[in-house]
Amino acid sequence: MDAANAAVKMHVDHLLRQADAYAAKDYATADRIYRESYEHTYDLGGVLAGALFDPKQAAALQAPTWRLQSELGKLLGEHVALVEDMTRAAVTNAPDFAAAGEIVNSNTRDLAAAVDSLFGAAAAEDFQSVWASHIEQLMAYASAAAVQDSIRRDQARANLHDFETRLAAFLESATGKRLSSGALANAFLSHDEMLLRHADAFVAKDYGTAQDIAYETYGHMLELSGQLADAIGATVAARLPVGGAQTGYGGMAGTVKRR
Amino acid sequence: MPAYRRTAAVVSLAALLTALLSGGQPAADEPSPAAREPSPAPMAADTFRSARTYQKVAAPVRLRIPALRLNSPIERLDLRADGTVAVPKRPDVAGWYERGPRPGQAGPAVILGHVDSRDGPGIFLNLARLPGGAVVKVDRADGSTATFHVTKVSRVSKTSFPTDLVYAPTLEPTLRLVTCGGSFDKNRRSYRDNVIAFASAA
Repeated sequence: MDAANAAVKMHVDHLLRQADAYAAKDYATADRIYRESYEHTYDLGGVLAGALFDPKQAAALQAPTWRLQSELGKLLGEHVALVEDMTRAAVTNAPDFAAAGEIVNSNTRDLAAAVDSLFGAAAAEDFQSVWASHIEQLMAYASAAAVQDSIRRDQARANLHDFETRLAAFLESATGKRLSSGALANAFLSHDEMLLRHADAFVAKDYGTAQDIAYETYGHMLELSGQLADAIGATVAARLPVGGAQTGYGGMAGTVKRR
Repeated sequence: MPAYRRTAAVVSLAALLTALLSGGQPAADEPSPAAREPSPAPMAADTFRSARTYQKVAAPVRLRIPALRLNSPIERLDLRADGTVAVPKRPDVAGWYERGPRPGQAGPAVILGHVDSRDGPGIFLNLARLPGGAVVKVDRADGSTATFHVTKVSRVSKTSFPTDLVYAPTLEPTLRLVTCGGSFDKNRRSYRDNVIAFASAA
């Protein structure tokens, strides 16, 4: 329980420090702590699960398949939370927009680094190029919506469709067709549509609807990231080494056996 | 940022603008309110550029484990034709499985070394004795170093080697050190077990 207590205290500390930084208009610090806090919440969940579950169940949570689901969900869920935050700053042209943008960029860099680890540097560069377009078009839409510029808004929406198709094709290829580009494109279309509706609601000062859509978008992304993690895990697992390693010739067999 | 904070900021900004724009009636010789209305502030979102680069992790070149007085260059290892992992050519040199993550990158990096040669010790002779918490350092080609702490050392039968626990993808930067252990099968000229040290980023 000590670990759980420490984790809860750290969570509260994050929230208080974030509030202090925001009140002081130190938006870069506030957003950095926001990100730390978000990431730590996953650790907090793990600690609480470890304290609440019996040891066998708790150990199962450490299995790579669950770890990948959790870690990918953390990054992609964070993308949703941070982009929604950034959208609100974009729509209101708020002074913390630059800080919000930088923290979204941190998340984007982490996503690209994850793709590098899973599929290599060339794939990561392709992914990041497509993903960057996604973020920029969402911001273009938010800005256009804020000033009622329907032409730029429609252009941003059209550009997002291009992103949806390109990312779907990328993931279909990366996962060896374990995921179909058609289903993925539909999922990304839903993701974008929710984020655009969120921006529209915020422009209309309909904050209740905006918040409802924010939760909906987050839940949708967690479901999608679970499917992605399963397909990516299976793709990488299919090319892993078979069996153990032949790293000995017997010259010290007597010594080795005693250890 | 929490919604209520953003809302509060927007309300404050709106109140400020309202106060500024409603300050007094214009004099007769002043331009009409429409004519003197300031052009809207440029939208910060219009100049936003998304990140198009990320921090790349260089390949490992040297392994250091102070508790074992171990300091070895690292060679690269691929898969063999039969799907098993290749092993270092020399018993006194460690090898990194290059199809997996680089040490310090998201995911499990794997470094292998021999426990012995035909007539003497290998670089990982004492891996099974590595204590929990021991420091492992991996120097990389760009001059940087990734540091890990050992969390657990296990001995497992090669017939039930835990491929997923050693190699399967996660996004945590971890390290696995692998060698042979247990009894030696003279007929197969192979140890029956593998010893695996699991380490997490410091």
